[in-house]
Amino acid sequence: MGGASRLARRGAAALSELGRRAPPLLAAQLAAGTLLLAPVGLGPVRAAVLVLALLALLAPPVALSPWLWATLSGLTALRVVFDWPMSDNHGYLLFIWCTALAVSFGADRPRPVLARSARLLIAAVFALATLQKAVLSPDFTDDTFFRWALAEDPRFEDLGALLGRSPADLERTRAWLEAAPGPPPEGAAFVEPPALRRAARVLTFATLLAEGAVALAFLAPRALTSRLRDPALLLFCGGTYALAPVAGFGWLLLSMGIAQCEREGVRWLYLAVFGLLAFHREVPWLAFALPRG
Amino acid sequence: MFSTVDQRRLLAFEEGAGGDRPLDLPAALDDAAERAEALPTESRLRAIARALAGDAAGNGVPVRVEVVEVDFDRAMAPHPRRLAVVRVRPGDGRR
Repeated sequence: MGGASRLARRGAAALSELGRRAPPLLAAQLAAGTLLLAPVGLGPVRAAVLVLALLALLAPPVALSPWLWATLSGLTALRVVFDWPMSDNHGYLLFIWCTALAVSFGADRPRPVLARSARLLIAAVFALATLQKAVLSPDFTDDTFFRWALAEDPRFEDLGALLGRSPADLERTRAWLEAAPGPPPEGAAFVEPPALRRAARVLTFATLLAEGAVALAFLAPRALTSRLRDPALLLFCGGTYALAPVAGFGWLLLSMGIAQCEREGVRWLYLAVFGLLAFHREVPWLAFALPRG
Repeated sequence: MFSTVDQRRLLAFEEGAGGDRPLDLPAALDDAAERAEALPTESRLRAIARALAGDAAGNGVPVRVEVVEVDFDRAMAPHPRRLAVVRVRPGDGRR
């Protein structure tokens, strides 16, 4: 017990110590950590990205080099080109963020340039996400998206089981959803316990609320909302990626978030949430709550 | 970020006198099919249709390749919608 609390104290002290580093270095090292933990590209592109990211993580002066980030920007752009048109939104954002790091570290005063780039990027990402969901996607606002995703996306399987959909019912539901445009096979049906239906409603509203709040906090004038920016982004990352473990995207957002974080006492929280996302990615914690047998 | 139902299918048929016969896509076309589902341009669909028409040339019938998107209503009943279609006759595009 004493050993565990000593370990926890040491961990907290290490996080606090790390949090005192300058935001540009922390942002660069979190971006490098993201590239190491969620590698991108294939073959030589992947190998080069891994080597450069490792160098950035181990050597602070390298992490602050505009040339390193310009090279990583080129490599992440190549990945998007080779994957075209299959790259997901993370691929594009990663390229843009590497470019922002390169441009900022080449500027006379890197810190304000990087902070402003990060703030504008986060604002744009969340404003566009909110616009897409609230205005352009009727199948999001009427809950259809989450009702479909709770069945089809394997990352939601544990949540679905926890809310009452048995493995057999999940199989029948997937057979129903995946049959189109052909006729559904015998026994296929959309099986949705009431708790899961309510969960789809709650997730729809919570997502709109959380993303809209981050967009507003980062878009509004600094005097009005600067103190809300970090809590809004940290709550979004800590909450969303606990249920939908898309760690790579979350880590990227945290790298941007820490770049614009002005309060030294808050920076360690970005590092803690970065670790929390790694935990959620590796440990299926919802599965522990499922009844055994 | 999560936002819309993303369920698309690439389908291929031989158009014979007796009706359409579904064609299985060979594994070699999996990557092309995935890219065509994401961005169903005429050139992508035509390349797949030509590859299949080459395989099915002995039958002498046209091959149709289409990408279908599936929407769901509030009862979660599926409603397929054709996004793009290309028809190729055996010998089309050969010199």
